[in-house]
Amino acid sequence: MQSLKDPGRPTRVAAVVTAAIMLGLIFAGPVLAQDGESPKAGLFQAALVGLGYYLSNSPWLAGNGGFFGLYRPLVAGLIVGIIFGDPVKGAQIGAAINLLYIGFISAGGSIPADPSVAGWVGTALALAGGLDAQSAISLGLAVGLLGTIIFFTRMSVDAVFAHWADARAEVGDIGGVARMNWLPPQVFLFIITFFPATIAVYLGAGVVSDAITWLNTNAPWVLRGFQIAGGLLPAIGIAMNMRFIFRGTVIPYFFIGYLISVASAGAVNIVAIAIIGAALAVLHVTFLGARPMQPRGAEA
Amino acid sequence: MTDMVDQTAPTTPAEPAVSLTRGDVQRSFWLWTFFSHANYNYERLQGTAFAHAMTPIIRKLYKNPEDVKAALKRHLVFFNTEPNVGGIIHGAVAGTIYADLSTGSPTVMRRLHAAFKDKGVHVLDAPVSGGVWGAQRGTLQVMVGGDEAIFNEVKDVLKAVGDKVGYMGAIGSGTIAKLVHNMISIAARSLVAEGFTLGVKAGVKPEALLEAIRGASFGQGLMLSQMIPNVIFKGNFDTVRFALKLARKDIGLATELAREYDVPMPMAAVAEQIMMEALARGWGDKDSTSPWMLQEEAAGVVVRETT
Repeated sequence: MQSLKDPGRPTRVAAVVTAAIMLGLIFAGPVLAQDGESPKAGLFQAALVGLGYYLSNSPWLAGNGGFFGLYRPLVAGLIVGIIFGDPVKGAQIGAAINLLYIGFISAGGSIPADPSVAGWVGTALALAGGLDAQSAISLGLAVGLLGTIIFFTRMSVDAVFAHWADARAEVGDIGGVARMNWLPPQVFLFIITFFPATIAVYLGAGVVSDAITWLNTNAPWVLRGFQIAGGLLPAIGIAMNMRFIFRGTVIPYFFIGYLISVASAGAVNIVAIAIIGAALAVLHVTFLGARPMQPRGAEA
Repeated sequence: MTDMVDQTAPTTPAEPAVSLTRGDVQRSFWLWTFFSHANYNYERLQGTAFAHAMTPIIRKLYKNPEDVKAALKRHLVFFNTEPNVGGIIHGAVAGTIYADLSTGSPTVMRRLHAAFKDKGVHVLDAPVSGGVWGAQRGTLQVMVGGDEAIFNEVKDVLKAVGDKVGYMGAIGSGTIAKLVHNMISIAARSLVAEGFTLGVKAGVKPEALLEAIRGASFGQGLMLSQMIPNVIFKGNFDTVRFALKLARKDIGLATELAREYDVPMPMAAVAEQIMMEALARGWGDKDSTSPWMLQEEAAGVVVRETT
């Protein structure tokens, strides 16, 4: 491993800010969540959720650290759980919501839904409302669809900053062009992610909590519906994922994994199946070489 | 990026050449890694991020304000790639090696080579041949000119384009080889057309003719696989495999046949004249390849292997 040179000021600032925020998330949340047995969102907790949602879209976590880490509902759920003092429940809800987006892909500035907001705000609302993981999936789906509005707003407005960069280039201002790529867009992104998410959690937690209580006594069938939908929706995520991987010589592995899970009646858990899968993958590559999976219609 | 050639535009040859350090390149890498999507937008996607990552490079390479301006504007256009490994594109743009796979003029390639050198960019001319058919199967021939050390550095990358990658010599040589190949290939079509029109008009079925020619010495590619390396390269015209006087008789019979059937064969006629000149030199008992020496004499060069 070669030693890396000084990456420059913005990157250094970014690294420090990232570390500080991560430490803040991990330590401050549980301390502030100590009063009250049923988790209700305080302003500070709501703000931490908002901050997490902003960070998941920001470049500060080594660029892709946000997108491949905090952006995922499983990760977001765990951190929201920490903030609300119940990491296990948070991770369970996050994992359930993540199932929906397991085949999520973003290409060329288009997203089908916003898994990040579903993870951050969805988990927070579900925790505050005392929903179980199954029912939280429906909530996550709804929030995730709303999140696309934020994404599309960002993608549209950021074009303005490209023209600001043009203006800096016109006068040969190198630092100015660099600044236009991060300063105005990130201030704008912070405004459109942090505030809506914070407000949604702060005000929404009470509303969701009251609504769930009301439904529980007056119309329990609505919550049953949530649970059933929550059971169905992950099939969409899994189906999306299978569109990418269910082809060619790797198809048998899907059935091997499925069979192990079913035949053992769940006794062999997903981690064990993943390890078996990894071992089979090594054998596959060893014996078949790095022959690529045949993409559809690519046969020349 | 597609407009890489434009990088030569702001050249001021009087300036001393600057080269990028490892630190410059790594700074660019980190800027891209962190900020590739910082200003993701519908108009240019990662356009401003591309320029942002290029800023350390621009700062290092350009001192003249006009050059800085041009460089910034050049890198602010629409851009989109995969964020994790996309940084290699900056590496290519910032610096190291630019291989031009198009077929142009060798003189232009030499000028580009000199102009890029001032900016710390190495240029190779690397035209490809093999057509659509070869491109689909990855069986192109890449003919590369430029510094041999640079060629060795990118050889494996070029192998992704074509399975046969050859080093031709100094800058421009790749293009020269490509032009020579295309000239031969295109001119040979006229000659083959003369032969087929003669054969068919004189009564041979086209399919049968094709099969016969493919199976015979020309069709087996013996000219390139045997004659050039074993006879021409060694200057071995005295060992007779097929005597010139017999070859002259055959081509004479063919042109006679063409006269009989009114098939114009300008290229065959020229070849016959050349053979007559070789016979007049008293080479009738030499090998039928000996008219090659007349062309060498006219061109003032001999084609022998160099080792």
